[in-house]
Amino acid sequence: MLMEDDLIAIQLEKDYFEPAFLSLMIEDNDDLVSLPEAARLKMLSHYDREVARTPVDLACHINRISLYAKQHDEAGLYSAILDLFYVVRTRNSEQMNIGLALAKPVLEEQDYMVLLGAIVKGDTASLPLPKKAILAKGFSMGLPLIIMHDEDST
Amino acid sequence: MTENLHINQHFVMPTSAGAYFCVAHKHASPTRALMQALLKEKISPQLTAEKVREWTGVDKEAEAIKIVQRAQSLGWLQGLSDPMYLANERLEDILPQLLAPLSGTGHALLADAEGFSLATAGFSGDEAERLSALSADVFLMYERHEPLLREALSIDKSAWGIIDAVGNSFIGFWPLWIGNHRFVLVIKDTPTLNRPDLLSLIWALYVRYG
Repeated sequence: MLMEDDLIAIQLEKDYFEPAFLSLMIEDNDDLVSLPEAARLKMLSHYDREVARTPVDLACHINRISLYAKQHDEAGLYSAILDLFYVVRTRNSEQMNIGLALAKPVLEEQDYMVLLGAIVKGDTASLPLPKKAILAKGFSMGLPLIIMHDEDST
Repeated sequence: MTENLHINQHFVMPTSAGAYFCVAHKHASPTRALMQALLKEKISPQLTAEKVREWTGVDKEAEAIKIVQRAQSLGWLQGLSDPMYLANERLEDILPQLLAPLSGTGHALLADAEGFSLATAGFSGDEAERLSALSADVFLMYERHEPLLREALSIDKSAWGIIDAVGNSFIGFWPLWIGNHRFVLVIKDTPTLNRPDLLSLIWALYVRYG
């Protein structure tokens, strides 16, 4: 009987590989490192879109971060962490802990410290918008254009 | 106790999302009129009650202000302490550098309604010409079937793409309605329309063609 890992390996070798039909947690799956480059890029593209489509699905964020970490794609990893922060809005979440732990050995130490510092302060809008960010927009809504004012309060 | 809405006289500019909303359809609305008016200015203007009425085409000040408030709450408008300035360069020179960041792999082009490439990033000259021609064909097909899609099926979108099993596009064609012109933004791989470069692109096109 084929095990789940075997089935995944078979699926991934097919040239009609469709990430949409694949359901797995990438974080602990080292087999992905040995996938053909084209298949890994296809999966990355898939998780980029999944994060755009369902930003509150934190498992998608972790899968995306894991894939970029396994690819040693620093720009992608940096972007994926920022996008996760854009959703969870706190350093103190389980997913942010996992994401930062995956990012630390891959990112340049200085980049990691700048990113961590901005996340701890909750001020990622001041960071340059990385190339592969899907959710982060590189700006805040800025200043309120309209204010509410109670007539009786003046 | 009466709640009143008052204008903060900050500088105002659409966001990338607001600029996209403005050009993704050709149907008129007060919110779209507001965005169009802002995108025609070379310097982001300061918000005043008079200008809000003029831009939205809504006479009643309270209603016009609500349109601004709603647009900002949807993330379509940003309030600024300092004005933004349109890049003071020739459109032809800045288009390629604005297009590249809109694709995850740097492949994007802008075509006109006749199917001619206006600017390209990442594609070869031959690919750009053929994709531009394809974009014109796609929208001829769309216009033929628009009554079915828009009226019968209530699909209020007009972008097309070649998609995978969950609908992710490998290549997509986004119409940009600007003034009396229709451009098509062609993006290969993941579109990153959240970027400020989309606002810069649409702003530059609006000042020239809007």
